Amino acid sequence: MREQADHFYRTEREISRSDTPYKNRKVDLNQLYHYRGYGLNIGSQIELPWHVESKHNDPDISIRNGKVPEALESATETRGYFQVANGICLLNVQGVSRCLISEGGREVLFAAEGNNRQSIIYILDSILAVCLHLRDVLALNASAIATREGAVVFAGSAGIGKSTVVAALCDMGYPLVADGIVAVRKNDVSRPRVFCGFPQIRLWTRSINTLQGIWSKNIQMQIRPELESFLVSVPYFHGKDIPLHAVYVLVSKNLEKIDTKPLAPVRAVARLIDLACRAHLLQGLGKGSGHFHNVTAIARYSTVECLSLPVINCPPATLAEQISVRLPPPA
Amino acid sequence: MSIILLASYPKSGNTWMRALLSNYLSESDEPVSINKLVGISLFSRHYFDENLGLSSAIMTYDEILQHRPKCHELLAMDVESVAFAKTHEPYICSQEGNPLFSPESISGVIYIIRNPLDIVISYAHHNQCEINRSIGIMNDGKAMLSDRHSGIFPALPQLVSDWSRNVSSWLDQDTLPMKIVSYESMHKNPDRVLSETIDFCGLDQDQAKLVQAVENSSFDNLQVQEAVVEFKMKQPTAPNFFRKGEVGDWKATLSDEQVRCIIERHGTVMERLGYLDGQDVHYAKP
Repeated sequence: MREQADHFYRTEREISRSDTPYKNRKVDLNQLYHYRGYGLNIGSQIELPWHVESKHNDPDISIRNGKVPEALESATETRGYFQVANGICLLNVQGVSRCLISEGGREVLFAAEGNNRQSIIYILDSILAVCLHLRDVLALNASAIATREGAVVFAGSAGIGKSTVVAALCDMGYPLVADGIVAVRKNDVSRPRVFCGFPQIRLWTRSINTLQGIWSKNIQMQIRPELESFLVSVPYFHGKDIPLHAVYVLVSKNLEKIDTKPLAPVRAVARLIDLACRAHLLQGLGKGSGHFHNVTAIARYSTVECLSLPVINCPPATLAEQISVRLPPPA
Repeated sequence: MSIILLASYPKSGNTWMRALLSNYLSESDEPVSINKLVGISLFSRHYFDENLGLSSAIMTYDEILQHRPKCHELLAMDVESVAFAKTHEPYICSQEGNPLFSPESISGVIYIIRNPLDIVISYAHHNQCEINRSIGIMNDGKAMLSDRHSGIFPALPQLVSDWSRNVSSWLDQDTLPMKIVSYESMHKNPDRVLSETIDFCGLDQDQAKLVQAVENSSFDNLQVQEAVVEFKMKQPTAPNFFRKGEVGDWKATLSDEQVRCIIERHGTVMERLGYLDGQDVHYAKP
């Protein structure tokens, strides 16, 4: 399955290399932290809060410290802290850090005002999302589990409860596919495919305390000492890419139990576009049409439903029980 | 192009003001749905993360506060002319000394005040808690919305602070143009309040629309709507959002001890706003 994932990226890599050959790429692989997620080998000079993998020789993304400009002279689009020009993305968070993503998402230069490791975690989701978008892979604000029929994705805004829902379903035996960002790529002949992320979930103390199972024992690290937020390793991980089965768009409502409602294709496309991670950069990066094709492929080949979660405190295990009735058995 | 803030301490009439403005701006004579009142969100975690490229979930309140003005600038750029935005936050600055609400994105503020003796009753109903608990929240200088140390919400954390600090912070600021509106005046003469508010916002006066807007936003009409549709601003545990809409309910509801407690804590600001005028001397001099 990993070969399958590599196949998707290899084409892109070859195209990118022929267009813009590597320049000034002097990365000492021995000095990198090595990670693997979303079908990509990631090498970083800065330690990242991801599950560490054994060393690989040819990173698909290399993250290193270096000089980063404060602005892009040829910027075609500027919004917030972002600037975009000719497939290059600059993120300049004043007083915190600057980051330049280039070479089709293979090169990430990073410069921090203070603590390297702390500064990069604020923008890590942005880095990952841009690197995926530049490869024509849709990065959704979502978490996903594996079923016998394929990946089931829970998409939604930050803070809606995606990770808690997925953790509770892991307790029921569903392997994790990805948490926080879900990467989907259309397949010309069949259902879109979902790439596996990292074998960990980001959970808050409140969720850990209300979840059943082994979560409090599986804590890998506290993300920051100031916050009750932890990275927790999962009991079951689906470590290979998988066809997409369904997408549930999470919303919260004053209900006593969950409710689902199918979304018409046009509405499904609109909601998915809205939930793409850093989607406003896509046009500027020249990836608008690829992104749209990914979204329409999801709406065409898989079920997209709105899943309303009760606002009133409902134990995650109860939520998972109600949701699992609608799901195929675990993969 | 710019944002006009509808600011207030909670349960001071902010939603009522939104209803008045929504109905005035509506092209229809029918009442605007209570779930479609004017007001863009300044606290969307999704908007913050997506547009600034930061993960607010791993940022502290102070760090988020530092970057929110940038978010307001983007929101102001996104609106076509003037947009209203509701907030219960005081006028505050980040640790770096930058104001949360700056003239670059906020063109004016309508600050709504209400007698805190009436607020505690309404807030207790809203939160489904005892009145003494409600008084405790109103006395808490660190009181926040959407903030739980052990979890996150779709809305960013917002400082509300205690009633006196919230009110004083706005009364004392001289950076943003501001119109002060009282709940009591909205109750007594809504036509006049709405007319003055429309002037402040630079909107055209239309007497027929104004009369219709006041009628559509009457407390009875808002209650009728809430009886039919679930109001999204209602707390899940509360039976309703629009409760009584009365002025002076405290006289029949609060105990002497509760009144004394509120005045002891907030008497200075209450006196500044005239809320102690005509009260018994016993309460007027904390």
